[in-house]
Amino acid sequence: MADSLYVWVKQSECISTPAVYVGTVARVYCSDKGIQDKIKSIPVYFFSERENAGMTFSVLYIISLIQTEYPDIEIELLGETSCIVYYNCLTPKGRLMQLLYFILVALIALLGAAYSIMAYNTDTGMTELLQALHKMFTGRESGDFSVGMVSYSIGLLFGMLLFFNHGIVGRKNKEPTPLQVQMREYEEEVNTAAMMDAARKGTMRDVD
Amino acid sequence: MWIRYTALILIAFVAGISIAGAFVAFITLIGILPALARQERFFAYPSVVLRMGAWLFGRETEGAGSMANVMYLYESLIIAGVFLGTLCSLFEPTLHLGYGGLTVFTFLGGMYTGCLVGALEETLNVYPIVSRRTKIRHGMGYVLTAAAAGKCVGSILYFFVLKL
Repeated sequence: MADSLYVWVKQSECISTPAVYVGTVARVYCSDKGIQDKIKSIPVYFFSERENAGMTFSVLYIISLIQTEYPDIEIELLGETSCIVYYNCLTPKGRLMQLLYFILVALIALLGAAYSIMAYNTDTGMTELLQALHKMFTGRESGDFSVGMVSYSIGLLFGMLLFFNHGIVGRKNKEPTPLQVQMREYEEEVNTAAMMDAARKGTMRDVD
Repeated sequence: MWIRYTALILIAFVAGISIAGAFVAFITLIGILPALARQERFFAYPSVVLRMGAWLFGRETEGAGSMANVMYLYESLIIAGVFLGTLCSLFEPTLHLGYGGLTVFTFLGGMYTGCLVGALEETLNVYPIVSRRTKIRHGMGYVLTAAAAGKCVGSILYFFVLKL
């Protein structure tokens, strides 16, 4: 009597070693631990290129690999219908490029946000508005400096901290912040698109 | 007199908070940073960066959590940028960073605006619709490049020819 094998195919996986095993693309459960470990270590693919690459595997391909090793095992499928594996080739040059790219994105985030809020303040005439508010509230001309400007700036800071759920103001809990949620959604969309692309172009590893 | 100042401070503070809310919502909806961060598709950030994220926020550094750390870092940078930017635009200090500073700042600001435009087009599904309507299946990359070049030319015309 063959055991039931439960295969949960992951949507995507990121590896830094070139060899892909069944255990890489799927979570596998079998009541017989020996079979489970053997199936996990069935080789699926080997990234031969010395650069970052991605490869999509159809679940049928995974099944065919398992069945050539264990012809009479009963496979229960869970999860996705294909898995995309990203191979991250960690060459020193690649690491350096990634660090440089990170610095660029960090600078865009910092200075771009500064730029866009300056554009917003200019566009809406925030300085004049705050000066007018100063006059409205206190009856005096504010000149170049108004306490309203200070509290507006601090309010902006606190508001951002609050909405991004960061440290000081927001609860410092483990709940993901808006951008983290967005990142996950985006990741999923990219994975789905990459899989469909691979299926259409025929670069996906499939049974036929 | 103090009650008037308190009222002014309060209303400006609340205005700041609500604008911050709008800013966060916009950035999140448009999704500039996920798209930018995703360019390095393989999530393997240099360990310096991960350690920086973990050190700043005491969060997990393993596996998928590492990406979360980096996004957290980016969020902090946006917050810092917005705060500094609004201080600069309201109090107009002289920073004495010279033409170099100006060039770097405007270049990165321009890149940010470009990303914003691109992300907006992506959110509004402009290019998929154009592709369907014009029946251009291949070479949308050229159309995108042309649109980007058009923006560059338009910006130059705006500043140097129209002189608005």
